[in-house]
Amino acid sequence: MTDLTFLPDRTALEAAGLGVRYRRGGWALRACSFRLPAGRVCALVGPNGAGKSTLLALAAGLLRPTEGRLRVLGGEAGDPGVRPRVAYLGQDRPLYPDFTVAETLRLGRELNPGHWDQAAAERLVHGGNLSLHARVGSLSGGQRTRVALALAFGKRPELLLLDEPMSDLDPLVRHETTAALMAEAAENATTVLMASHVLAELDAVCDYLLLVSDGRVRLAGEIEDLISAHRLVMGRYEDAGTPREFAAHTIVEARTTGRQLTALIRPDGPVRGHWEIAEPSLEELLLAHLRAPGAPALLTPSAEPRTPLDASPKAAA
Amino acid sequence: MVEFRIDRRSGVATYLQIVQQVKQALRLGLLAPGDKLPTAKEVVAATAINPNTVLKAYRELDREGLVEGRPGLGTFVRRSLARPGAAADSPLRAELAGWMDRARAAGLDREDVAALVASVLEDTRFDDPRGPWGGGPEAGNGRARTGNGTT
Amino acid sequence: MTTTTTSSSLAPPRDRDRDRGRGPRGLAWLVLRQHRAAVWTFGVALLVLLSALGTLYLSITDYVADHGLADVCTAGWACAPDGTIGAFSDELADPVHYIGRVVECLPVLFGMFVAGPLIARELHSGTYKLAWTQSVSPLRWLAAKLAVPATAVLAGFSLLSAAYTSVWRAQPLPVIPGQWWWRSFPMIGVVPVAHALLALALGAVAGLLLKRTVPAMGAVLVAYPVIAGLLESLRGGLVGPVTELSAEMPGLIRGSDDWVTGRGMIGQGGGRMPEPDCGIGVDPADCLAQHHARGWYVDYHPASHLWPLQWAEAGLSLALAALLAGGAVWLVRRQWP
Repeated sequence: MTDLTFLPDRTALEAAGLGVRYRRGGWALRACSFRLPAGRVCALVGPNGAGKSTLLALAAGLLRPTEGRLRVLGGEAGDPGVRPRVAYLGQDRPLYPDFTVAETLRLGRELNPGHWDQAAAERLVHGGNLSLHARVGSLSGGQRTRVALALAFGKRPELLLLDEPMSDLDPLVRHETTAALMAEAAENATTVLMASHVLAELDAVCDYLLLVSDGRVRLAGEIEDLISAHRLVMGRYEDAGTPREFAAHTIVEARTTGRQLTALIRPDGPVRGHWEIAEPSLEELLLAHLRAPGAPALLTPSAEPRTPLDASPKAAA
Repeated sequence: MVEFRIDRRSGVATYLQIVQQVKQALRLGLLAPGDKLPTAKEVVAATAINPNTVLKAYRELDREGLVEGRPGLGTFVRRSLARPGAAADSPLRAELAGWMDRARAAGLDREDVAALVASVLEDTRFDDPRGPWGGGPEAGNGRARTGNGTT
Repeated sequence: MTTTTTSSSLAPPRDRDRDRGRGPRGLAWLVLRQHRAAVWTFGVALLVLLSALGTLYLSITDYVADHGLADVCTAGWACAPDGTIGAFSDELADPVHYIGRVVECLPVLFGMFVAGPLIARELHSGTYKLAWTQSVSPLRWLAAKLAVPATAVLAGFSLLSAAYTSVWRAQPLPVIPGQWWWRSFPMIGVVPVAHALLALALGAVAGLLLKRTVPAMGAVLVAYPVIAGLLESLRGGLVGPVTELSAEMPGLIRGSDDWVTGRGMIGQGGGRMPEPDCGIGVDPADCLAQHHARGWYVDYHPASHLWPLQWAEAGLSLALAALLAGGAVWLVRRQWP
């Protein structure tokens, strides 16, 4: 019972040199390489248009990569053997508006013969005070999300891909849904990859992080390890540029306000000088990286791809 | 049975909040040896936190010898932290209550008292080598790695 | 077939067999449920047309027996009193012909349905993601989108086509030249069914290419008649015609139920001169001399060519349908995993 749910040697997702080009030029994702161990609850974070939804759609088998590859649960994304083991909640929550809730769940049962859990799906729907006979088209946004989540849960997936799962849920339903999601993860060691803007939604829920911006992977790994690899350094500093004693470390971001310097660094050995040193919060870590697009990427050892493509450029610094 | 209350804004790591709340329950006698802790699924279904966090807290308690995991059955309390001196009707508590009255009479408000108590606590050596927060962030990091290696 | 109703408090999670044994399963259920209204419309229309054809059949056989048309009518229009035939044409032959037009036009409607509501609407609204993330690969999805309407066409439309063919045959054809076998060709036999399958495949390609309901339907509405016209222009050559040579000029119309596909003169060297223009009122012999020709030829399909031509055109349509279906598969594989 005290075994952790994650299985570090098993891989849920592994990208090597992954790239997706829009039809009209420009890259949604470029040269992405990372690994997500099985059993993790991973936050997929990044600004709008960073490529989060593209990455989730690739993993769900809805898109084909332009270059590189994405392996899902040991197979290629979209393989007939992989599809039944992956569930996906799209941002637009596509559902048939003229189906009733019961018919929508029947859709899940019909399309997943042998591995459909009607009870799990109905639990989510009943929790939302939803009538099984209501037309999907007459539901509110939050209720539609519940039905879409029920379809995803009913599949009993090994990998659950959620695109902005809580965006249109009220606080109570958000709490209930997160609890249901976590209970599912606890019971079946489901790997969860969850894209979100709302950092408060992710804290305490996720133990793994994937930060993407401009189509690139910026940070990947255990949240604890990523945080402890960084230090927030504050102090009085009035010269131009960054202090000389920082040269030994990787500077993610340095800002000067009046006489005060605030920097987020990746220390390599002890930090010299009279600085106030603190461990950054998850939010500070993410914001600093988003403000500093030039900072090198950081992947913890477990997030490094195990089987990289020879030809593909690695995103790791 | 205990119910955990997770404060996401406290700045204290979630798993430590669970460890502290179990210890608190052990101290106050809410949990006694032989009692079963809620399963990870039960905890996350109520608190909506990551199950690995709960399991990590239970491991920590296991490591300290306070609980033990019995495969297939659950996690059970091994020993109590309740001490006669900390009970509600103990002489120590009565003395402290008397001291509080004197502090109020001397014009100290709530925050003054809290600061005074904290500073005395800081200067007092207890036998617990790990301090009140169970080690710094490096220790937390080290535990994550152990977790990685043992499953 | 164990549909046990266990007590629901025992939480039976995997009750996938609950509805076993009634109705279609899996993707077929989904496609039929999604297009429930269209299924009903098609079913009702089919019943209406079939009962109309049944009534017409009975009326025709009665009329033919009552007026002795079966025996006399081998020599064409003049074989029976004018009033009898006029009444037959107005009351029975014309309705039959209109239903024939419906049979001829249904394939393009099927194609438009596949292009628009069945495929493009799902791609446009994003609901395709629902099936694709519920364990169905894009290719299986496409296969179901083609197989379900194809089955409906094979079952329902074949029945309609067969019924129509029997009614058409029951008529005293020599008195209604508008329905000679080669004029009614795309409404009878196996050809309408093959055309319908061709239109379905065309619809799939249009839907996958355009991904929007109205443009995809419009594309089928434009492209299908072009393909049908092409098939019609090839029709006469699918089976080699019978050629008859004569020194005398052949009648403008050979036997009444022969489909003449070409006629003209044979030159001295054996070369053909189709439809030579000799001017009006010129003696055939002079006309031959004028063109230095040595005789006349006529190419035609006798009535016995109906079925060889039907099978040939059905085969060609099915080959085209297979080609287009292959194109649809290629479009899916190119775009999606």
